[in-house]
Amino acid sequence: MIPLIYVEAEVMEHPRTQAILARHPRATLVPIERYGEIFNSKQQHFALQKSRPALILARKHANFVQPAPSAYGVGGDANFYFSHMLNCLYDCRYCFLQGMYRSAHYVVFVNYEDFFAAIDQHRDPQRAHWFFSGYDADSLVLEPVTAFVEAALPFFATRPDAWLELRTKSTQVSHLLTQPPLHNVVTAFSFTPEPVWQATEHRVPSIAKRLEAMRALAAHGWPVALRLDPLIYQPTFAADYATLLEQIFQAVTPAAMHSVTLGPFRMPKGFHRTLQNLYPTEALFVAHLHERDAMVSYAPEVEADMVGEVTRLLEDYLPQARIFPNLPTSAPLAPIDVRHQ
Amino acid sequence: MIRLVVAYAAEARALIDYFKLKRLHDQNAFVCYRGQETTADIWLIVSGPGKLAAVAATAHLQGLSGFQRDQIWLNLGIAGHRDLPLGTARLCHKIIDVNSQTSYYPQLVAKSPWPSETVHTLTQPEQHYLRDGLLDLEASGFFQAALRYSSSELIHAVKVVSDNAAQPWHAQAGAPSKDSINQLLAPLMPALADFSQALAPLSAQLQDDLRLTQASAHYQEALHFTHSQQQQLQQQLRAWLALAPHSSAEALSALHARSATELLSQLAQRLRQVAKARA
Repeated sequence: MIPLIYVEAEVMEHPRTQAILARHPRATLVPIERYGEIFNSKQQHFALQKSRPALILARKHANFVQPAPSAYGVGGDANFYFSHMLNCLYDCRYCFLQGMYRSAHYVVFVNYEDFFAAIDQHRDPQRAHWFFSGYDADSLVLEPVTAFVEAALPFFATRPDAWLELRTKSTQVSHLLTQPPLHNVVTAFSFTPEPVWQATEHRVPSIAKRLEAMRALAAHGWPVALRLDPLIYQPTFAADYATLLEQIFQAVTPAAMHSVTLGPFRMPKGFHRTLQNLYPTEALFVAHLHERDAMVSYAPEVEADMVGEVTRLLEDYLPQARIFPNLPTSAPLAPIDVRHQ
Repeated sequence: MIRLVVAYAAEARALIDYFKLKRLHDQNAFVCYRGQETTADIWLIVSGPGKLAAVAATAHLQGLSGFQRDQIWLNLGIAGHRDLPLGTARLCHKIIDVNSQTSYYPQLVAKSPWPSETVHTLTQPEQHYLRDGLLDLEASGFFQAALRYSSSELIHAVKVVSDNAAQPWHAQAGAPSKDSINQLLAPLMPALADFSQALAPLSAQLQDDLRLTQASAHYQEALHFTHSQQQQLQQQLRAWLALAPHSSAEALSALHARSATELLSQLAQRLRQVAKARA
């Protein structure tokens, strides 16, 4: 249950705001001017807020669609990302959002139509352009609150050249299952092996439940995909990933799998320092990690081993053309200055 | 540790009685009290009316109680409201400084026994009740000052309605009496104690592990560290605890070195051993 909803004055009368408020009649409504007053305040603590996050309804004013990092893609001609939401219901210890944002509250930008207009501007009917929606939030977990997918499907249904990735660790696929499948809307499920899920992915549904959601979507005809980002090192990682892939491909046939991406855990030094301060006793941020240039990551040989090993395991199930290993040589997404958006 | 800020001696009465606080007679600038509730160390200061007095008192109490960071801060007091009945208690989710038009947002992470409300901090009492929300004279000063010492999840204002449009303060016979204020606030005390207890684990989450504090103090007494070396020491001790969570303070303090540099090198080596043992 969301106990408190902050609403920017500018979107108070927006129909989407009113619909969300109507679905949360017991939540306390607090009017605000701009979401940054709360979200960017220095004197707050991400980990404390994570235990009881509030919802912030706001309007996004600019930078609706951004270019994705150069190394990232699943075979399209151009890659972009957009964030109609910031933050996530889940509490994954390795998540870079904790290092990037000061607040754990969920921000929803209710002016979806402006995102769609920006996507139209970045679209090219002659080329396959991808629009990734799950960088700064889980794309589906708050669907019952946001109804974003409900709004997005009719838009993408009429733009077959524009590809949408919904990235999720959730099982919130009920709306998708009521709709006819679209070839250009791919639901990508993120997984780590069972021991990592248990140790680091707090509140994330079990692997079995997520596989059931993935299987149901695939059976309904929706394209599904697999995201093994980040790969987390454990001494038993090769055996753990072998087990995980066996579970996954027992639930979903290789033919139904649109693509797989994989990349090792790494993050900018500043984010890593913030995470260590938030969770000083978390071994994940200490064990096997090294500082390299501006990043904290596993040693290069560990990264190469992990990506190589998991790629080899994947090749037992899928053709190489559908596997997208990402052994980055540069920083992931630069932090965004949300104060000016 | 809980720090309480009230404007009037009459607002302090219920707290003094409930938490069995003792006056600190050596304090002259402000009237202060201190007491112990189960494991919590409770400090109370009487600021006097107005937001500037609240700022000064909050800062004074921070120093008096030992300059510790990320403690629980509560401002308790009476307030006006257009509609709410007298005696109604509210936690504040937004504090508007009417003079500067600055808004503050206490973060409501702990479950509250009371519904929440906006409070408008005025410079002078108003005769009319035109604003939506509570009306007081201190909350913004208190919150602004306490934010320098703690996180907004741990700083809260709790207000009890003492006057409203039907029973305005200026029509009441003089200022509310000490007894009437005490009668308004005293019923609140058990819920206030519960709320403080709900906040305690949040504050505890932000305190350094005692073992780390002890080991760090041990080494800094024995050796000279530069500022950067102090930070490395903290970082390495934290890493040790992360990798070996059951290590005792004695184990963390057991290294022997002739200089800070040598100690940090030994710690790095020990960390590699602990990490290898985990693998």
